[in-house]
Order: sequence, then structure tokens, then C-alpha cells
Amino acid sequence: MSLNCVSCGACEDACPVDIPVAQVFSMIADETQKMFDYVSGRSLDEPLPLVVYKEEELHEVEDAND
Amino acid sequence: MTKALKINKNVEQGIQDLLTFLLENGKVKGVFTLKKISKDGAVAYSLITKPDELKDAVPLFPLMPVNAGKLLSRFTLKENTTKPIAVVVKPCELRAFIELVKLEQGSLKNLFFISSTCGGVHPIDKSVDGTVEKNLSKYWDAVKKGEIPAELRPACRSCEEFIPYTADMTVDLIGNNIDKQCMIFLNTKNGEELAKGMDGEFLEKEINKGKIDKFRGKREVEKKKLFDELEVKMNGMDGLIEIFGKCISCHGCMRVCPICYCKLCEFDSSDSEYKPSNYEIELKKRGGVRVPPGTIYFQLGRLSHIAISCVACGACDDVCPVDIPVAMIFKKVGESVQKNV
Repeated sequence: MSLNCVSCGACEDACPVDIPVAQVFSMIADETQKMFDYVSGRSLDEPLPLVVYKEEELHEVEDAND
Repeated sequence: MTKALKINKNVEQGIQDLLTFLLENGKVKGVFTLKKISKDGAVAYSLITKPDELKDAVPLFPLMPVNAGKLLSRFTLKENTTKPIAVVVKPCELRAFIELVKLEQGSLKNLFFISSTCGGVHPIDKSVDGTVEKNLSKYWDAVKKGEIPAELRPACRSCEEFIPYTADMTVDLIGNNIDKQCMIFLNTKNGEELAKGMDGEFLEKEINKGKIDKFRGKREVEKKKLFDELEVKMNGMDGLIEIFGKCISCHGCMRVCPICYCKLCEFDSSDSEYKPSNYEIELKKRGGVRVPPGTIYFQLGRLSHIAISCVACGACDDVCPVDIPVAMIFKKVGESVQKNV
């Protein structure tokens, strides 16, 4: 979800126990979309990050755990 | 006369002791009960097997995070439990589970039910801001006096089915001196068997009919008031449009409803999506149409499916983000349908 989340806040409106769902999703989406230089819904021409295969990418994430 | 066990402790301690006794003596292998999960009063149902874990259990807490009937159905749908479990639930949760078992959605095998004469529960949003915890002593005070506690779910405020029908044990709360004593009616052979050996006084007794009738009278007054309000609001098609027009189609009511058990719902399927061609037919007749258009169809469809089994627990009311009085509508229709079969 986070790569496609548009942070509209509808989930938070409907949560009966006031979990800040939208804020959490929006926070994670911000990070993951940045990672792929992606903004959900910005352009029809940008392919969905998870359907693009690149042999070399995301070293900064892999290396962070070394 | 019914057999009863009187424990000379306040009712919450009495139940804690009973559950600990059942676990420690191997009479049950598990306890299904409400348990505190945060300091501000949020609770969740839990399955407990070690007596130590019972310290945070709050079996009689006036909240219903989920109707336990739904949880027990999911728990026993694919196989029954082989170990005996003591289940502490509210009367409408027990009725929901019985309904689900009849619908072949669960099994009663090896479950022993402890319920109570029920004072009702607060709406779920009161659990997240600490209100329930803060008002707990007021709640128990009202129950003790046989009054309707403040700030309950409307479905609870107007509930006349507050005595469990099929519990093995019934903890008598309403109009009772619950600060000093915990009175447990042992309604079945299983109930008697489980309580045997427990510290306390064993008696032959009946629930005090006078107190119960008086309390029921108060609930009847509330119910009439709420039903009368609905009658005005729901008058005719315009009334339905007014009341259900606010629905945002989140289907939250359907998700939390214990009776709505279908895994694949017509209203969630692509068959019930409105295509442009469907809109076109409607738009030939009038110049504008609500998007999505099916809110009344959804509500009335669900109502016709559920009314015969609705236990009026009020869970749907709690989750409606636009405050449609779903529970009272379902309770009203449910009652008139159930009365007439």
C-alpha cells in the first residue's frame, strides 16, 4: 500500500478507535516513495515501482544492515 | 430453585478468584475473557492458560471491543477446541454465538459459559480517551442500584434481554450488593460441577424477580423513547434517504456484525458495482444520481438478511463514522420480525 498511498486520510476518518492510521501510512509512504523517487498518482507514464526490475538498486538500504 | 454460589468478596474479585480456581484445579485449560491492554482503559478479548496472566483480566468490564460471539465463531469454525475453556461473555454475545452455531459457524463443544445480568457497555470510542476507566465507579454504582448507567450504547440503554439464556453460570450484578458479594447462579450441571470445591457458600436461590422487573421497566421506557425518535426520522422513502443517505459505504457495520458471517459478500463483489451503463439507465429517468448509488440498497439488503438473527448488541453503531443509528434501526426491525415468527 505505502507506494501507492495518496494520504487522503479516509482511513483515519473511519477508524472507530482513533488509531492515527492515515498519519502512520503517510509517514511510511513518504519514506518508501522517496526511495523510488515516486509520487503516487503523479503521472500515468511512471511505472509502478514494484513492477520495474533493476539488477542494481537500493544499495543504501541493503548496506544499512551491514 | 437454582443452585448458587455466594463468594463474600466484591464481584470483580469473586470472578477473578473463580477463574483462578478453575485454571489452577485443571477444571478448565483456558479462560476466554476481556483483558486490559493499555493504561487508559482499552481492553481486548484474550485466551489465558496460566493463572498469573489473569491479573490483568477484567471479565466484567463494561466494553465490547468486538462481539465475542463473532470471535468464538472464528475460533471454533474449522475445528472445536479439544480442551475445556471457560468463556466469560455478555448475554448478547452468547446469543450471537448460539445463533452462529445454529448457522453452522462454530461449535459449543468444550466451552463453558459464564455470563451475567448485564448493565450494558459504553461505546467503543470511550475506551480510547480514558472515559470508561474514569467513570467505572459510577457505572458500578448505577448497576448496584438497579439504574441504567450513564453514556451507554443506545442498544444497551434500551436492552431488555440482559439476562443470559444459556450460560452455565450467571453472575448476578443488577440491583445487587456487588461491593460486598459475588452471587453466581449455577444454571447447569456443568456449572455446578465447575464450581464444586470453590471457597464460598452454596445456596438454593432465584434471581430477584422484583429487581429485574423494575430494571426492565426502566429499559422499556428508554426503548420506547429511542424507537419513537426513529419512527419520526424513518418515515417513508424520504426518511430512508435522509437517514441512510449519509452512508459512506465503508461497510464497517457489516464487518463488526456478529451475524454477518459470509466470507464472500454480494455487496463486496464486483457484481454489485455500478457500471457506466447502469448509471445511464438511471440518468435517463432523472438528471442526477448519487455516487455510489447503492447505500439504501446495501442497508436494506443487510437488514433483510440480519433482522431474524440480530441480537441488538450495538457493535454496528459504534463503528459507523457518520453516526447513522444503525443498531436502533436493526433492533427495531429485528424485534418486529422475531416477534412474528
